[in-house]
Amino acid sequence: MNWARVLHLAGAPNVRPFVILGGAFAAIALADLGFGTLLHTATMFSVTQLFATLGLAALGLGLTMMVDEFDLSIPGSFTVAGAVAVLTGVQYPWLGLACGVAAGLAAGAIQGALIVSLGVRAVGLTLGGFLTLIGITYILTGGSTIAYANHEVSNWLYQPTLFGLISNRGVIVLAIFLLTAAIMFFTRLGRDIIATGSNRAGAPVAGVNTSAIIIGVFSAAGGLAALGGVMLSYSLQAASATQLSDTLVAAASAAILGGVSLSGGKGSALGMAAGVLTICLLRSGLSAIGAKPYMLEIVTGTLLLVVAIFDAPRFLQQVKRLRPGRFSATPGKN
Amino acid sequence: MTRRRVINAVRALLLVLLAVAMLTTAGFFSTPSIIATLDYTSLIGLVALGMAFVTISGNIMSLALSATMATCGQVFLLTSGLGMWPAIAIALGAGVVITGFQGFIIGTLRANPIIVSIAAFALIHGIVSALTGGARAYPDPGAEYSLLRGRIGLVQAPLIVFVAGTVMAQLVLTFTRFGRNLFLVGSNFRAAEAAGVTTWRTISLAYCMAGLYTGFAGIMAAARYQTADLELGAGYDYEAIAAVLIGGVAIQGGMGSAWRVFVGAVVFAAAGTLLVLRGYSTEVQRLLTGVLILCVICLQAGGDKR
Repeated sequence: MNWARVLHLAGAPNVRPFVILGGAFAAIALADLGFGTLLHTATMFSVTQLFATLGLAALGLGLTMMVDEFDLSIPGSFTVAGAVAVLTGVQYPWLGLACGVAAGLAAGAIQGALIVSLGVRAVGLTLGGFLTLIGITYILTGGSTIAYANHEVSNWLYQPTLFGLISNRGVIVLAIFLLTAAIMFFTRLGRDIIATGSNRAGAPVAGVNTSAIIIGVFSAAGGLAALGGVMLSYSLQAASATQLSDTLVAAASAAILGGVSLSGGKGSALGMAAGVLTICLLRSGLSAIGAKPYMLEIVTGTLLLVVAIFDAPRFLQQVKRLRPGRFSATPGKN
Repeated sequence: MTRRRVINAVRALLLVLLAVAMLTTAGFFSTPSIIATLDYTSLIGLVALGMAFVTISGNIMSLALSATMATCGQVFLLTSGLGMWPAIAIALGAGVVITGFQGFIIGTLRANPIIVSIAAFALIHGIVSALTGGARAYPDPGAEYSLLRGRIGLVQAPLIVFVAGTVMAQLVLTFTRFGRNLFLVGSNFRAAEAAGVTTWRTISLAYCMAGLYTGFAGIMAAARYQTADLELGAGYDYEAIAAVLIGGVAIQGGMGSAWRVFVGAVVFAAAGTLLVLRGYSTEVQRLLTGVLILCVICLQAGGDKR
């Protein structure tokens, strides 16, 4: 059937993120018609603030998905780094930043090394890692919210720039996305990551050190999430173990909407940036036009489910079976 | 197979340590402590039995069982005016439909189970909040379900349900065609297809079982607390998978039994009670859950290598 082919092409991983971002923007603008709240600078600033909060965690998670793994511990690195930085960085913010990012890097490196040396899948292992990191955060913070008293840092991070559309924190996150995109596009490292994700057994034949790549990707993922966590805690002047407990849902949705394939070997940093922006636009946009909070969960959940269905290995095969007059056991709505 | 021996030795050592800790911790064998432990064991255990079907089918775990449990609890209380048995049936049906739908998508399309469950988690939270307006559910004033809150000596209703559920799950796994297919699908998907197993049906059914058991947990919890909201089963996903793994069900699928889940749930709950009695904070318990899962997975992986 032709329409199945068209559907599949529209959902091609390198086009999809930007189509979805545009669609989300149009949909919210349409719902907003006549009010103009969406195009207000304040709304756009809140979108980019959310982008700054979620971006690096989503990027880290997306990188692990590119090598055909799934790092459930990303929210853990995010949270623990914030607490570490708040505890160590009051006088010297750079020291706190270094300690926080080091914690995330270490968590990622240890898990990556275990995955490689034991030959296990990441999901189960990083589930343990996630709970361990959250447990450590609970102990560091004593189960409550700890305050960070350095106002200069938080003021600087919050400082709006570029016509008041984005904060300094947002600019840093954006810069890291661009840097990652450049590395993925221009260096051998980027190609090795894609090769590892596409065919882990075959990549070593082409001279790829897959073990090093996996350990490196998990370290980078932990470090990126940690950097995001540190900057959020500095910005909010607080850290707690329950901070952003829904990071995983948002980060996973963003990465997948951003065109990262669940079967590995596909995805780009720019696509992921578009995916994160989509999620942020939905969150801030929906609340700006006065939608109820549950609408956000329904929209995010539906999007994630639809993309998971589109991305499923047997999606096309099952759609082809859905011919008129022939009974089939596939969900009809696709 | 010396590694296997090492693992068995570690297991035995841990059980001995646990037993020693139980005997030396003041108050562990007191009535309130035992009742609390068994109650916790039953609720975690029911979700863990459900989770085990997902794990054995090769789909690792579901992150949406806690939300399903909460939904079933709310459905039970809201329909309790119809009588106990109809309310139970409706709540279990809700669990089977919610989770079975995910299994259907995963089974037919081979969609990523973790992502589908994350999406389902968000959808359940959103839809339930939309329907209830975020309000807590309370039982119908005239509702009668004291049977679910009954207790004979130290044996409470949830424990009876859990034990019966374990036996039933084991019977299903051992003696039905679905059970045998489940192990085959979980251990080698392509071989199962080549052997003519209708894999989507097996996986869908595994998720239906997960919904059924999670539904039981939700009903028992709602009956106990007399109220339910979306936080009812919060954290149970992690605790259930911990119990499943501690019992020795393989994370990569294709191996496990209901007995193992039973033992895992008992050990996990007993360890939790011990920590509380010894004055450790809930923070330490969370940390220990994580470390336990890490250790078990590393041990399992070590055991698989020759």
